[in-house]
Amino acid sequence: MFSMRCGVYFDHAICLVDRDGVLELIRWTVTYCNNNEKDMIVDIERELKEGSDKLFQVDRGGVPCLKHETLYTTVQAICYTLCFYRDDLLEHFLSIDADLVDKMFNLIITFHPLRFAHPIIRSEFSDLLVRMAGIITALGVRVPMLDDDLIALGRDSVTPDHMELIEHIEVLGNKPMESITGLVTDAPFDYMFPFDPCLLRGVGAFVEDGYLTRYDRYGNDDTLRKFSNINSSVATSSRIHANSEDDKSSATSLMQWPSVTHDEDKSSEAVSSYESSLLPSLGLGVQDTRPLSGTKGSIAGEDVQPTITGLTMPPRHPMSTNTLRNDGLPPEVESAEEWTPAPLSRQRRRNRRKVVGSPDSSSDAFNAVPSGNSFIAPQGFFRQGLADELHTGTGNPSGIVPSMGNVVFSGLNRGLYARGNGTVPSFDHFAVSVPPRDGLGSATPFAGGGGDVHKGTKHSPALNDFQKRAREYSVGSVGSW
Amino acid sequence: MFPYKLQPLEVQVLYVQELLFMCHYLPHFQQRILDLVITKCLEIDVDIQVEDSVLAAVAAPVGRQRSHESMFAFDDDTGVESGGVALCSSGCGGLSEESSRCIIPGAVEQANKLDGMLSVLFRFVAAQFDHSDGSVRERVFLQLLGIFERRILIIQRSKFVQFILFFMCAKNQAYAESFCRRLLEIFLQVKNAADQRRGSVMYLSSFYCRSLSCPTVLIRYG
Repeated sequence: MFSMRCGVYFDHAICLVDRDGVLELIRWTVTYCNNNEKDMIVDIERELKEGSDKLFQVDRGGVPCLKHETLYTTVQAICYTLCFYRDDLLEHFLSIDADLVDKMFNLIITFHPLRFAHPIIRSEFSDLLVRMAGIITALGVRVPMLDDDLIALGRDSVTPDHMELIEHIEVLGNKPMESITGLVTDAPFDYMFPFDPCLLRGVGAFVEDGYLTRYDRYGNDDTLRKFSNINSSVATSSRIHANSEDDKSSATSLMQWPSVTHDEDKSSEAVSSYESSLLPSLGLGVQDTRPLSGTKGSIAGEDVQPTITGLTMPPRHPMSTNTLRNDGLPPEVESAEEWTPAPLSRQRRRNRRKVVGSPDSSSDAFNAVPSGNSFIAPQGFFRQGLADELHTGTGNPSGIVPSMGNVVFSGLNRGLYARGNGTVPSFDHFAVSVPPRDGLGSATPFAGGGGDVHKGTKHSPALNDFQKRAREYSVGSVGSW
Repeated sequence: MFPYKLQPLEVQVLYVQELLFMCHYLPHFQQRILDLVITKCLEIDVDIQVEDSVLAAVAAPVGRQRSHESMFAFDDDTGVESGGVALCSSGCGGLSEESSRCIIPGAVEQANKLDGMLSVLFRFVAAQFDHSDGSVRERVFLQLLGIFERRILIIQRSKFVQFILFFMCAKNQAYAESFCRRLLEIFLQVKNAADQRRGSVMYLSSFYCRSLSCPTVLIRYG
């Protein structure tokens, strides 16, 4: 299984999902349904007319079994894995093969395989699907189930097909499905997952070292331990090789994952330090500070001074972003010396880890950020089309927007695996670098960027839409600070 | 003759110890001895009834949210300890909304026996790993993998014995990959029995989720 398909193992940073059997299971599921489509539709129709007894057949050994039980079990296993890893695995699968995931969801609508799944899995899966619209929007992938023109997040962005899927599964999770379709809902086979927590204390003591008790996307000890485990194994694995110097440097950086610590602040520092060392090697976080094209002093090929996004952060103000001053301090504070940031709650400290750069996304705050720094655009800030434009198929998360300056998606190492996929790497926030201000025009992207507004340059529809959306964003809409 | 499963704990454990000790001076019998021990453990395993969160979730929708948490997470406070096992706190046959999975009180004695026997087996395997060279370790792993396919995989209600494979895979990531690969092969081969294929896919997904040594997902830190 270790991916004969995957030639360059570090093409997606540490993401080795190409060898993930779950994707293989999804492929099998889609293929099975394609091959048995007519038969399954006939079965469902007959079930609706004649009752659920027709669902059963006799296998070769003379034992009654559920028709297509292998399919139902497989779908349940896939959903279980997706639910366990929450949004992360779904995000990754969407970034790898969105069409395949789309096909799987379509077959869920068509053949109702989840009616035999565990009720908890159904319910968790419906919750996951509700969040899927936001994931897809952030990823910038094309999923036919979603309409590209709908840019709002959450339920507002889903098409009727997608909504049907969500409602279908939500209904399954809450009440018997037969009230909706007439199909049976109780699973006639066992739900058991073999490696669920072991109840024997003696045996449990032997396996607890290698056991993932809980997956936490925000990186609790268990998750870190898994990463640590993967990285150490990657480091020692002779099968993983780097094909180029860049790959080798990336690989070396990847080994330096911050160690597990119970101290939040130390851990946060370690992550920041790690990011600052790793991101440049992966082409992330290094922003190109070339002047805007069309503005004074902007000559192609001129001096480029790479700077690390997020290393020169202005003082952070506690909460309200709509009162941000030029120096980034709250209005009631006269100088930076007398301001002491309020202690952050645990959740905020976790969120803080996710953000590198200045905390604000409003236009005022954007203007207040010194040139060469970054601001954070919240989720949904970019229209999907613009996100596509940013990447322009280069496969590099960093992109250049004409007349807006250089945009660097940085600050989130979750974006690592988007490298090489040409997708938007961030899901919650984007860090956008502020182009140098040369005094000829507004530096804010909301005004069209650089001097282009004054020069009457025709903007692309994507950029205009971006500006419109940026204006609509109210000050203080960033919730993670 | 292997003691019957209703024999006392001490008898069972001592017998397993002696059997496994034979492997040291009769190594060519090791596979058959392991097969015998695991088969006998399975006989006890399938007798042990566990109150599952599934039933609680179906029977008591009010406790659904709690059940959600417990299904996708491990709760160390599950049930009340009795001896070496997690005992259901709501009495025999009752559904506990508080605990996700627990062994019903009537099965505690058997569970303790199984715990003792499996602990001996785990210690034996661990000793093989610690004091042997690579070829011996690999041989033990392959033996257990074969036993898993022949015995454990086809048993639908095995709850504890399969952790011997989990334990071995945690020792070496290559074993984890081999285990996953083998499960996927079993699942994808149409000629295999349906039960075997379904079992393999359940084992596969569960292993992906629970194993720290599983080289599957990335995911990301953030």
